[in-house]
Amino acid sequence: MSDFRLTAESCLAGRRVARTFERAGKVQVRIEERFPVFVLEVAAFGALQSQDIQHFEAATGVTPPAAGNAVHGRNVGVAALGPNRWAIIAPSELSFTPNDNFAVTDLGSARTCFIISGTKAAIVLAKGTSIDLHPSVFPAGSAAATRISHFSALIWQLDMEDGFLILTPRSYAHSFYDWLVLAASEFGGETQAL
Amino acid sequence: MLIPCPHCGLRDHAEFAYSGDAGLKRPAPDANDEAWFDYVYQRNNTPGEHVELWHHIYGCRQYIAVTRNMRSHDVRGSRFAATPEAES
Amino acid sequence: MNGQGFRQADGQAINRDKPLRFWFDGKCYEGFAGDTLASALMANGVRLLGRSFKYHRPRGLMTIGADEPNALITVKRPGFSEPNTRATMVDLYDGLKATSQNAWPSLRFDVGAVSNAVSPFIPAGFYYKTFMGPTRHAWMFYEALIRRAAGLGRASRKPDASRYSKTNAHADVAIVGAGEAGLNEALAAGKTGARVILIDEAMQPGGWLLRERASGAIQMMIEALHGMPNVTILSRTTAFGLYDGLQMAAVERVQDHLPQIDLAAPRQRLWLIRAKRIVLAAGAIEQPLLFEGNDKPGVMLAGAARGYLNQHGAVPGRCAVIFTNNDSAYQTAFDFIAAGLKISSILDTRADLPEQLAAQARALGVSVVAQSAIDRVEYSRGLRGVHFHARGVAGKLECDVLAMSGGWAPAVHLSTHLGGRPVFDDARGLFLPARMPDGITCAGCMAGKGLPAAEPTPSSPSMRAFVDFQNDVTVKDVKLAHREGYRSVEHLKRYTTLGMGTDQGKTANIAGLSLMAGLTGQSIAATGTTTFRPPYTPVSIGALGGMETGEHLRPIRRTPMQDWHEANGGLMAVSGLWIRPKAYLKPGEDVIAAQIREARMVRQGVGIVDASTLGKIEVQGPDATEFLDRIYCSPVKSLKIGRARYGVMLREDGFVMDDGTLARLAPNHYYLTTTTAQAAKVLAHMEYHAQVTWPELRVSIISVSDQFAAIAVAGPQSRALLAGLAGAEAFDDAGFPYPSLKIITFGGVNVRVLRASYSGERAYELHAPAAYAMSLWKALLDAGAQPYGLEAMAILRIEKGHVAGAELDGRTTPADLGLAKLVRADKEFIGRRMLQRPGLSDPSRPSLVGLVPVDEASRIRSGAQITLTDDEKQPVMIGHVTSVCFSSVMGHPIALALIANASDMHQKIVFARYPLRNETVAVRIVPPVFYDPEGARLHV
Repeated sequence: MSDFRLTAESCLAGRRVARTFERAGKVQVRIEERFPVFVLEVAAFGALQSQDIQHFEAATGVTPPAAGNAVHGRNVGVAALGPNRWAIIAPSELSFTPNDNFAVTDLGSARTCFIISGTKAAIVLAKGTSIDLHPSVFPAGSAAATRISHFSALIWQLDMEDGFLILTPRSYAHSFYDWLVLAASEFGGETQAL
Repeated sequence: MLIPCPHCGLRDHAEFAYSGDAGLKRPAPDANDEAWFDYVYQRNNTPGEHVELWHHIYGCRQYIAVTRNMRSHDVRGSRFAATPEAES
Repeated sequence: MNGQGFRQADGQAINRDKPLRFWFDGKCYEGFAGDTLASALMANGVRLLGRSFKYHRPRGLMTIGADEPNALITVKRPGFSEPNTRATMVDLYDGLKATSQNAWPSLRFDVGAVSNAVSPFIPAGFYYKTFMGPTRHAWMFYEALIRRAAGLGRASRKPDASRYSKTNAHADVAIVGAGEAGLNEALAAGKTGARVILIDEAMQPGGWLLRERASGAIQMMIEALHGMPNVTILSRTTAFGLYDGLQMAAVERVQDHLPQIDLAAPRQRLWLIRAKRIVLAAGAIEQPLLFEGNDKPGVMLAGAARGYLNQHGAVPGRCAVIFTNNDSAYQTAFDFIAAGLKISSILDTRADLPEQLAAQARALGVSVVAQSAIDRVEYSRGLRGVHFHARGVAGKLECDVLAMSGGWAPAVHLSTHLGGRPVFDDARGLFLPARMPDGITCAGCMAGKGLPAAEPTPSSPSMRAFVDFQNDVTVKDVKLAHREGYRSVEHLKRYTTLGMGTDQGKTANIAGLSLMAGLTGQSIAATGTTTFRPPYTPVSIGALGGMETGEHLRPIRRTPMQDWHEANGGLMAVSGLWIRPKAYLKPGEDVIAAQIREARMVRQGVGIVDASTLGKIEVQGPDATEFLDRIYCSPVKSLKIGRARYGVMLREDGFVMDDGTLARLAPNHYYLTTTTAQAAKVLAHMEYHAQVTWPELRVSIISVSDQFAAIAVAGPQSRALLAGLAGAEAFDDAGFPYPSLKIITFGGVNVRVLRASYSGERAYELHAPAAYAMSLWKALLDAGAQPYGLEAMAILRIEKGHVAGAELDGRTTPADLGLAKLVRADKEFIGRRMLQRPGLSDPSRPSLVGLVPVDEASRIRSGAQITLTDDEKQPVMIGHVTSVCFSSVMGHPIALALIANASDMHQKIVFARYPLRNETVAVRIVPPVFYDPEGARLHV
């Protein structure tokens, strides 16, 4: 048996280079990938009972958010994906034990995580998504599973100014990244290097 | 067209896949041939209100039963298909 | 360069400090910033702007806006040209180059104009009548000539270098039209703090207010709106469609007015606007009058003539006759006189003149003639005068402009996009907007406010008067349509083409249907209008496509190994949304040689293939076993933990939907694979039955297709290879039998290893988290494995008679595919009941067989029809070829086919016919498993 270690690689490895594309001297959109991220999808088989909520809180540190919302804990974020379904996002591994009322699925490799920020971030995303990202409608802490152009995406309005976290399926992430760069090009933007 | 998703709110129809008639009831396994034939093949196409299934594939992945008037395109309401009709 | 001989001192919209040069039909002219191409040409005295569609009659400007039927021109840009652009909607920029259309060899000497001389021979329906029936063949002969002579501008054949964009926008209030009504609505809504989007098609907001002689107030309104951060003004933007759910589509001409188009930014942008409330203030469209010569250059709408004067300081001539059936055209006379121009006369069709206006005109020295009609115009390289009669007296007036007004029609178009019909107001002779759904209101002129009453169209105008200028439809054509029975407005439109074209009859429909109403004796209300559908004005296909062109037309899905495939000789082929390697070519190899080498490598040693495109689904929950038992027609409940099994699922109609592997990870936890092509459908199918059919089952279904990459390691040496990486113990057959699933650690990462085989050899599918898959692929290569592609995979499965997409075509049952023994009769599952239909168990149904060519050198083609004899005349079809390959182990082509009555056909010789290439190949029917029918190779 040979002694070797497998290493994790972003699906944008090799493609993700730092570049700045200015427009009229402006850089108004920043596109970054966060890698690695730890993503779990948790589904409850029925309505949550108090012991289920306790189980959820023990694992994540936060109470499961209602439809359309996301919550932050210490180093963890939870967004509602559907009825009794949540995405849990964390920078490092987190343990959520499945039981008779919870299915737990590791999607850390299945999702690519982008942070889109800058003054034109919402305008760029509006080219692809039909949901209203105006702060009066989609304030910080809002999350929505939706569609951006051809892509299935979870959009999460972060607590930072003009910043959105986007989770998109890994096999589509190259195409999505190309779409983002094209959509941002008229405003000037920058991408991050690995 | 906009579709009111009971979980996600009002969303563009491009997030959904149309999935047929929401009024279908799967017959019992021992139901007669005619009942099965109707379930698999026969569909009503009458003007006016229909209850249709829309699968929210880009959102919560729930099947939504949407009550829509095919003459005016007015959407009167929606519910999760998984929830039995408790229409008010 | 010519001087701007027809430029007045007036013109509030132009900036005389910014002269611009432009070219029309190769000739250089000068205009000013703030001009449109139409106003600049007018200022330069250019009157002839195009030739008409059918008769090639000379045509000039008729309107000042989007309703222009005549002045269609082609704008030339470096790299592309845009035909059928209305000169009235093209903002002038420095260096603009435009050409006229429909004239050959030149606008002035147009050969096609001879068709004007023969116009009595091209009445409405001419082509239908002349070229149908016995003379139909003549059409085939003349079609090319007719199509060259007719038609509008020509599209470029080059790819469009411009970029387009689409965007979504949301508003509390969306307002169409920034005229007086729209501006007032925007101000009122803006003051409440509402999010407002104000859409206007002109270069600056103001609408007709910009065309008044004095308009100070408007600048204050616009400045107030600019001061509101919650108000977005979209200029040069046309709202062209209204849709259900208070949604609206608009196209913004972002760069069309700029001298140089920046290719990094969109030229046009499509806006999809969703609003809580929509206000339509699209204004009204002035209508022409019907008389002989009403289409000659120099004859134009009175409002437009006044508009060009006040907005651009451009005038169509120096001496005008006004011809009107309503009050509005009097203002044109007053404005012309105020600008120092001459008004020869006002000819009013009405018997009762408006006292005050007539007195005002007379005070300015203008004669006003009641109950007048124009008999014809004098035209010779320009308008010379008009012949008219009034109360039995005839006369002639000299003029170089005839400003006409047939009244104003509300621009009701958007109001009908949701299915409503315009409502006729008998008292004023106007079509008012359709009744709108909740949330949409109409305002200003569009709602009929402030529009003058006009006298109805006379019942028998000159037969030669043009009704539809763009489509060359005359009064005579409308009468002919009526005589031949085309009396409904919809039939009238299709028979005469009235109301078609780029302007969709904005200046033609009302007159056309008034005439038809007169002919049929019906009221105008009963006659009705044709339906206006989106788009309000033409929209370029580029704008509708937005960014979705080229590589962005569809997303491309990539496995973690795709970069490696591309860098290592992979011959890539599109497969759904994926791009997959067919084979890895070595120097000097073609794809056939490569695939045979790769297949032999698997049979004799070991190979690895990227199978990451397979669909993968996790099913969890207390009722997971029960649920899957009902989804698969093959057995599920007996599956032990850690074991795997081939599974087949049916659609409710009894036909096979998909196949794959099903593995049980834990009592309530399953991992299953689907085919690449059916992955999304199977997920939706399972979600449907979990939510709709059996909502009582407690089950969770999650796609993990992107979580796990799959690498199949196949061949007799697969176990040795893997044992070298993860230890021999893990791959001991006793603890890891065929078929089963085991979690084995490779280089510190847990990998789901499925002992299953598609090739028929001993094989293991490594399902690893996608982030680690490339690292694992490299470790396998380092251990000595070599890759194989889709073509070798196909050879291996066809040799084994395994079914794939070509056999799972939605028309086959498990029995058709030789899988009858998998179907459990003792349980309930999706498709069970319909599978029992007599037609689906008919023994004569086509079922799976193998084929080998009688002459081993001949090629069988996929899709070929199987016939009993090689009789060309009476082929008896018994089935078709589904899959073919060149077998690496047999050394000749083999095929799978679906054949009727297959059980009686063993070893018979039949014919594979491929008429597209005129090939007929004699083939022998054999069992579908060509290689290792006992399955011994799985355990070697």
